Amino acid sequence: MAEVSVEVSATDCTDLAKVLVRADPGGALAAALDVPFGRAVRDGNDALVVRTAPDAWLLLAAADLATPLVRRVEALGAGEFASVVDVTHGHALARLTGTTAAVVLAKLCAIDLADPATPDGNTFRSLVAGVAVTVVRDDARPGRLTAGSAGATPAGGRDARPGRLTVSPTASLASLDRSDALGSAGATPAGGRDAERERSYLLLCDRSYRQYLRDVLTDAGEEFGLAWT
Amino acid sequence: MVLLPCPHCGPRDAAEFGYVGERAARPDPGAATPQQWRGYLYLRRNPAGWADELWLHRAGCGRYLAMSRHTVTGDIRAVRDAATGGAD
Ligand SMILES: [Zn+2]
Repeated sequence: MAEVSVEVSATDCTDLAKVLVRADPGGALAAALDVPFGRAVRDGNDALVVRTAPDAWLLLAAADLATPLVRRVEALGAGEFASVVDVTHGHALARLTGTTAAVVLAKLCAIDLADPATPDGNTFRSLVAGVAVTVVRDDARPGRLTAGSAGATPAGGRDARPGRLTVSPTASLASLDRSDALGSAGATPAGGRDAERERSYLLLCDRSYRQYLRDVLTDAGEEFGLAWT
Repeated sequence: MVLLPCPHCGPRDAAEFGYVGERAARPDPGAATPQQWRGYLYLRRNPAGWADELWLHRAGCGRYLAMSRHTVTGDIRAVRDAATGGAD
């Protein structure tokens, strides 16, 4: 291979707001969230709603939105026995993106990552390198991405690659969702790349495993040129 | 890898599960004698054969599962959610 290209990258997204919801699957709160078990859906209010268990939901949003998110979800289940807890600081979150993201993850996880088993918008909780991790397949689409900018250039002095899709480490879910809602036209990256999806996974684990998860991803991704952005 | 069937998550590595123990009917705490309560807490059949067991899918859906498992062969003939009885 004459040129080594960055086919997979990882970003630490621990700063994003994380809210854990436990409620009766047959209750009003479950009906209002309206996401089936095993699926992750963006709601109309800048949050990614992940149904991690029959009776549990994980909501991800921009870093400063935890408190309003808790209030909003609590209001959905008014009077119902449910718990809505801001777990932002108790969990670590990373995003793994790239054409070989699934191959990297497959080295650490026994779950079938092929499209028929785990398509975009799918989520599961399983062991990743021996640690319980919530995995959300949340493919990068042009509307959800920013083209490689200075802030998203991989560390280590690699050349910036115009048109290279990279999840911006500073972008919030909220801002990405707003561009999503506007359609992909305004967010088409330089180079006229097709509006194709790029494999991307969100990985959530207990915060005490943050460095460990980073280390095992770095190790597994080394042969694919994984870069942290 | 030993696979255990989860009614919610599908077949999963046994390492994801926690073994809770044989299932036992909980007596009425107000009416049970100390002997009955002790039996509920501590006494188990421990069969070499089919056993009704409770497992926790710790690293998966987090649900308690009622499993009919053969303690000699490891075969599982039935599994359901211990609380709801169903798959969701
Ligand atoms: Zn399960």
